[in-house]
Amino acid sequence: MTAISKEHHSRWNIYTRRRIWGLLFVMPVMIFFAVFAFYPMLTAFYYSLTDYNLLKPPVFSGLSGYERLLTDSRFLIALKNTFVYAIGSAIPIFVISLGLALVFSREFRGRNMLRTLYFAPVILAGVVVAMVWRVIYHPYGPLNSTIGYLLNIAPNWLTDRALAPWAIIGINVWQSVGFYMIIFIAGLQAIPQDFYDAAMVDGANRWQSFWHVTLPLLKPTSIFVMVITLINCFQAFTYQYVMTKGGPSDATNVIGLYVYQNAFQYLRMGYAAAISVVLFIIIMILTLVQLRITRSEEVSFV
Amino acid sequence: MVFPVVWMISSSLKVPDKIFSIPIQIIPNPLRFQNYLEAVKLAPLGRYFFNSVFVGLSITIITLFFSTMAGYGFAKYKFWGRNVLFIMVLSTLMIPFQVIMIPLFVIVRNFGWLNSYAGLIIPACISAFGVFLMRQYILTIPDELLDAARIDGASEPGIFWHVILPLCKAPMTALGIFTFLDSWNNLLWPLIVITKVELRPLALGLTEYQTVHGTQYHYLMAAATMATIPILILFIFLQRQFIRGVLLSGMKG
Repeated sequence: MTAISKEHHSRWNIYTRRRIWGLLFVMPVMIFFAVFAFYPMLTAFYYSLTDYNLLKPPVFSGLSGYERLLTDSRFLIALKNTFVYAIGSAIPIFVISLGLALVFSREFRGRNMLRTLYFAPVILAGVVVAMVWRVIYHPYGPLNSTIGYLLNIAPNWLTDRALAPWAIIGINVWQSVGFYMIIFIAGLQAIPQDFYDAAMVDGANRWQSFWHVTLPLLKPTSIFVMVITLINCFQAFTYQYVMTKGGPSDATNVIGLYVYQNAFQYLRMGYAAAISVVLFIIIMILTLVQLRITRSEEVSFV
Repeated sequence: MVFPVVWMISSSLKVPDKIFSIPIQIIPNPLRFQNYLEAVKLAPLGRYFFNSVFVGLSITIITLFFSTMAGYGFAKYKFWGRNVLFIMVLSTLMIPFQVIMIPLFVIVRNFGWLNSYAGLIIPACISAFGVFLMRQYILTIPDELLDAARIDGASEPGIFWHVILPLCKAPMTALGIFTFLDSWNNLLWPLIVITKVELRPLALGLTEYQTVHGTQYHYLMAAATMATIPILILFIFLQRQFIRGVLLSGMKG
């Protein structure tokens, strides 16, 4: 009797002890997250309801920051620019990276070498890319002295209000396609060969099997690529900061940069927090849309 | 695709008035290696470089260790609140950095960490993606392995150190490369917490360099090349791990 209860006791002890070990293992990370993620997140919402210039403690001001957003023409321009930047980047990134993935999922000589070259820009620092392209886009730079020369044009890529946003979108596309190409290649490899064999037996040509086999089965990957591109683009900062500082006259200003300017250049922390909450809402909606779609449209190969 | 990179390296070796020459020179003539020596004289690029390496390695090591430990805790132990905590960690994946950067700045200021390595390193050592990745991987390790270690008398931390860590090399390498690159490329956070020249990491240092020497393109390209070559070399040697890192981060969704 005593032996049983002793065993019972020590077993309970083992499980409790393990439970405590489990907690201990996750503890450091949870403390980090509490201090550097959860708490800042909540504080950001609080700051967005205050006037705060860093020098004096925040003063509660209710929703006035959010009201101000509606009439702040610079904010509205930055918001519009961010949408143009995100959508203007996402579409070409999608098409080009899918195209590259299709090319690179066939066997041909020098395939690995070429694929590496297309991937290489992904690893470059945004700052370096921005510095180099700023010179490439120079009115006398290599872009105008080749393509510009052939077309007999010499635009000021980064100081022309109409061109500058697209110049930056071009860089973004250039640097990102390699990344999404890799994800598409993995998505393509996950499609079983049987499906193509079956399509061929049914007499489908290449185009038909792409349209009726590849694309539908690639849907989860496609949605993923689309949403992640948008999420990344909505948080844009580095290219704009390094190349144009948001100019000329806010033509390339984006939400990510405008938050920084308000917080650390104009010292309007409360207002900056309100802008950042708008950004948060956009990203949250995108994330939820993605979760929703990928859950309901899960493609299985069984 | 690689033209900008080739052009960057080539221009870093040109005499200033050959940079915008028509037709474009790919192989510089004359070659001017002094650009590098002179570029380094204009700003402490070596110091920036050291800062980036030091900060990047510190962040990577701390993140890898604690993410793996937490991933192990979440994957192999049952405890009260486990799922809630895990979901809380995951939910931070959708928080844009711009949202937390203002409170983060205030916290770091209150800790007295502005203009310090601690300010650059410690707040950057959290990775929700890292915890998620390691948990998913450790879930695939069979429980029998851990039980066998327990029968052999291993303690729970002993199991983590001697069984789990050695088995996690592959995902840790991929996560490590990504953490390091993220840190190496990060501009926004250093821009906020660092004003002292000698503490600037490369990304921030180069940005300031461009602001000051914006039209001396040969020096700019030399500086940019110096910041890129080490990463390119790393990439050439660890290509497979880089690409696997991309794929793993593709799992984030």
